[in-house]
Amino acid sequence: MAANYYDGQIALANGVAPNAYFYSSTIPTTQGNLPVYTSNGVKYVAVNREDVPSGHIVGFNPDSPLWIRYNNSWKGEFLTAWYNPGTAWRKCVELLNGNYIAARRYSIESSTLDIALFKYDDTPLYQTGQGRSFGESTRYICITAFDDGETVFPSLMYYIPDFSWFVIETTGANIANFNWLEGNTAPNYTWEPFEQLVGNAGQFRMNLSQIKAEYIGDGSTETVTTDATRFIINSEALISPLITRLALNEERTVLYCGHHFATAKVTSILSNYLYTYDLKFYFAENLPLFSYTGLMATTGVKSYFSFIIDRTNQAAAFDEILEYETLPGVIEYKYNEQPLPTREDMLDLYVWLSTNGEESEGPYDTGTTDDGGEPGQHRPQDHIRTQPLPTTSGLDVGFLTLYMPTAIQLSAIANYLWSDDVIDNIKKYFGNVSDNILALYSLPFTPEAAPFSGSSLPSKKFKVGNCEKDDLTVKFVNTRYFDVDMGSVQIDKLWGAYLDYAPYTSCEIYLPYLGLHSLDIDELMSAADMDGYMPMEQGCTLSLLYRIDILTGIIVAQLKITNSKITDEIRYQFTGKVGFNIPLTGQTYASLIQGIITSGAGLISTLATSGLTAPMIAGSAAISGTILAQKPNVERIGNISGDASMLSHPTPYIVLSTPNKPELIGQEKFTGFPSYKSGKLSSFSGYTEVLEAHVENIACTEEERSEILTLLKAGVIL
Amino acid sequence: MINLKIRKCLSEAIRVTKSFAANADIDLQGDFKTAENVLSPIIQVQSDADLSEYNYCEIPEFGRKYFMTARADSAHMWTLTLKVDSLSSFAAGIRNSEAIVKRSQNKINYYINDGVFFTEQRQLITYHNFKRDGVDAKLRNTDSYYLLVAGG
Repeated sequence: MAANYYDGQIALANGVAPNAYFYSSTIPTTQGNLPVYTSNGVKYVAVNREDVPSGHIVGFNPDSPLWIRYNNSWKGEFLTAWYNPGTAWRKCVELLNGNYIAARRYSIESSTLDIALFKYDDTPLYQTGQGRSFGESTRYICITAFDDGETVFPSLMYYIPDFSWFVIETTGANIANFNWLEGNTAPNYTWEPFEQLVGNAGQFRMNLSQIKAEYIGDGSTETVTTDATRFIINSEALISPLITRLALNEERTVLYCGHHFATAKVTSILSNYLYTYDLKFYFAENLPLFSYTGLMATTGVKSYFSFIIDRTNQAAAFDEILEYETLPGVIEYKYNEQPLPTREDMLDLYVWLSTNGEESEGPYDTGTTDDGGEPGQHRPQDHIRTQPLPTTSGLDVGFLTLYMPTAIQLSAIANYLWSDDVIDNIKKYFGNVSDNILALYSLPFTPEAAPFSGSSLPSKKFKVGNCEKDDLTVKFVNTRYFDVDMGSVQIDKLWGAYLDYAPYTSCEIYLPYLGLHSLDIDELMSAADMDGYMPMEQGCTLSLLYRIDILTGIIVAQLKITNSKITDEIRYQFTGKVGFNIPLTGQTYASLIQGIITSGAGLISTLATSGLTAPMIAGSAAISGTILAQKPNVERIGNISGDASMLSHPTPYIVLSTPNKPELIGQEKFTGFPSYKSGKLSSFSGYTEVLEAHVENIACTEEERSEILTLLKAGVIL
Repeated sequence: MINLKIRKCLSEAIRVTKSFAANADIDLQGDFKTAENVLSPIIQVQSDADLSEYNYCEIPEFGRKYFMTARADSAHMWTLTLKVDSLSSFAAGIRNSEAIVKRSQNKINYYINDGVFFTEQRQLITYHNFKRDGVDAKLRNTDSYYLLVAGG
């Protein structure tokens, strides 16, 4: 290549530099070696072109060879550059609506589709295989197609600000006859994976799936591979969980990156496993960047969020990594989804990713940013009321009969069971009488009398196995579950002060057949109303309901609270068992005794011990807390088993234990009482101890001010 | 010379508004023995009254009130040692100050735990039966047998 480019030569083909000239009215035209003229920093060369109007100066800037200066200004005018290969002037370039001409020197080097275009100083502008198209703005320049003659093929030309080119289309077999070049301004990208999204103040973190840097290449090609080592798959980056929870056309934020975010919206549901969705990237404060439309399957393939980034060229791109479940081990990544992102898109996404929250240095760098201080609303509460008894009992389907014989009838039954009639018959079918007698037990009540409903039970002939005794009619129980009202008791305040509450006051409840349990005296004294407010009055009414399973002897006791604001709200439930078993065989008797010894299943599960928790409070011996700490824990009731419960007291009761306060008239004048109220001291009177005060607007010395505050904190009399 | 009002204070020192013996005030004039600060002045006065019975002094010129101790120097000559009563001197400003009051005589929240509330060693332990229709409630009516039989 000739090195002297300032003589206006333009190489057009095959490295041959034709003579090309630009017209200048002040420059004598000539051929061959051309002088270079400079005017206002613009270099001009002479041109001999028959069509150039007189009076016009035509030249080009060698430092920016894509521009043409015409009539003293750079502009896009129809302009033709000519070259003369030595035989005739030929048009070099036609400009249409563009404002610059083709590179003043370019060459075509290859006979294949790989085209190289060089600047005038041989710097390669573009070579295929580098960078990435990504749909970069394409700019065309028309190189007038020519043949050996003067045939001109008009073409379109577009503005191209720089001069990185590659050929995307040629016409004819002779690649020298090309009609346009597509400008590709893509730089040579160096892609690397983006590893992690960190949201606001590190509260959101998503480890992204990645292609390892060495396998990204120019990022322009869809790649399907079974080489799993090329990828880092993170389940956190799975797309489908974020999409499937969206309703159709519902847009919701799904990603955070610093203070920027991305939303997703399902735009169509093609089937129960196939969705199309829009992913929109936003800068903070709802300034949208761009949108990406994806197709996602929830079965057969897993889609993961993945980004690549080139920090030097400030570009980033988003696409999916697909992991095929139907083709195990096959992974695909693709970065050339249509529509291709533009340079602006890639820059925007780069900025979006670059505002990623600062990487946390450790697991404790994350946390809440809420500093509190804003009280919430009151907490309305829900009713907890007694529900209907179960309707299925097992006593009405023919598999069981629960007789309630009198003692005389039971004796008759026992005699009957050991008679030949029963033994012979039962042995034929069952082999053992005891297989038919499932249980014999005693309960301290009959459902025929109060406090039960009092309805008489039906009767029928006693029947065991297939043996019916005609002359023995026995009552039987056809209802399994009963509710029994066990009365109520009033819990009132004693002191109207903190002494009525834990740990100073304690409350226990004795439940017949269930034992002794502790209750929360704080709730009994001040149960919140349904709107979640503290009541104005202390105390409540406790009502007790026993829910009894007569088949098993199991009792569930429900304790309900009623005060001025709430009614019959269940607050406690305890369970136990009543009754004792009567052994029918030696085996059952042995197991009964063993059960008593080991306090087995169905027995009282919790025990209450009297006495209070003992807070450590410093102070004189007469102070309630100190007294409390000295009190021992005493066990009132031992282990009451289901059998032993028959012998225990049958009436439930409450045990309240409260400190006794001596009468001390006028204590408030000497020591005051806790206040913890704020306001002007003029609203207080008598003995007053200040926690903190602003002693301001007083014209005193600082020594006096300090003394005043000290005295106020120690206690004064207002 | 400085004007003084000598008074007999009947109130404790921590009371902001003091009360005084009626008709006992004495107005005097005195001299500072040496250059004194306004908070703890020592003043010499001449008085035929027995100032040892007095314990309080007001100096309007200083705008302050003082606790006072009188010492007789000679016949009719007294040395008064004063210490400022900052509570009474600035009572109006104190009453106008904002504060969080920890303990009070008139604005009381009895539900707040009080480490000064005196109680006895004795606990009051009471028992209260559940009652149904005014009578002690119980589940028991008639002890009964129950025989569970297969089929039947």
